[in-house]
Amino acid sequence: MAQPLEKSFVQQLQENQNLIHKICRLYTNNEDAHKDLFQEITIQLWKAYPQFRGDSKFTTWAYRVALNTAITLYRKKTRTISTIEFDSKVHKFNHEEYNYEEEEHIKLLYSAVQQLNDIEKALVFMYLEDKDYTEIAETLGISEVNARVKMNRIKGKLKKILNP
Amino acid sequence: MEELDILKKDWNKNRDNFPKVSEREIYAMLHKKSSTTVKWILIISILEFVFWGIITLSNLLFGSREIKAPLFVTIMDYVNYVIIIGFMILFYLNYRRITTEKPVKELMATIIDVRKIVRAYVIYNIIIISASMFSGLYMFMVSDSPHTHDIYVTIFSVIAIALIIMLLVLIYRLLYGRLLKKLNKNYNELKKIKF
Repeated sequence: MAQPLEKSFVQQLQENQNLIHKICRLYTNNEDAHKDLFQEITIQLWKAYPQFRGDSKFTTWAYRVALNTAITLYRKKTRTISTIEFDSKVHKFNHEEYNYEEEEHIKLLYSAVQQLNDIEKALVFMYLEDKDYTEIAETLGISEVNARVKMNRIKGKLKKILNP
Repeated sequence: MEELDILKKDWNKNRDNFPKVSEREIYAMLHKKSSTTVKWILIISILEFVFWGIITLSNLLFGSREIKAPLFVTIMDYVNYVIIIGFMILFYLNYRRITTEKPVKELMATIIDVRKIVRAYVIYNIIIISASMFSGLYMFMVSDSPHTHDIYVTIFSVIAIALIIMLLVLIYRLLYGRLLKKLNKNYNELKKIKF
């Protein structure tokens, strides 16, 4: 039978799994790698869970552990798998809300973000998650001013990737 | 509208597009083996500690004692044991500082520090072993052994020692270069963010 700690962890993770999926989407480019990173993040979260005191929200605590795992700890498997299949599976757009043109544009944006380096992806992730610059800076271990300047540079870089 | 703001709109809307991982699957994941850079660093570091520990200690314990070692050498042997234990304690204390709840840059710096301790330990052992071998060689040469002035024995020993050390250094560089490539790249990227 599952221990109470394990049970509460699994429940919280199950409820907030989209957060982990979103990080996996940014840091991997195929379905197998996505699953692999999801599993590694789950293991690392579980290892760190006894230190989670509930002072902050589970998601606030979890995204830092997840980012650290994706950027620093995770070792990609050497298998090579086609990325085409995954792209179509992950970007399941709601056809009632999007037209074809918008859909294509969003796909291009995701593929442009994929071309950024690991640190830039972390900044983009936190920006998309609506984190303020104080939190972004604190999570990465840089100053707030540097986080702002870097974010502006990333925006410029994305523009360049999209309009070469 | 900025590109990232268009993406943000989609990011927040498409909340349920990912395949749902069930509680049962999460339970199963908790018992799977993790394979991270830190885990590999720990495994390799322990192997290094054991390997070099055995080599150095066996050299000190069972090395040539045909010629009575001066008091200075005996004292140095004990100092060496203390230093090796010191390295292990330092490694353990720093390894415990690796937690995924730290800021990204701090976590990377901690991992690099742990790696530096092991590297210093290895370099220290190589120096001790080389010094011990060369001093052994010197003592052999000045002793009354029938092969004392056999220059070929001396040259062969020096070349052999140098080659072994070079080979080990090369293996380390390849092994750690591969293991820490991503970490070093990301750490440098973070260090560059200073405007």
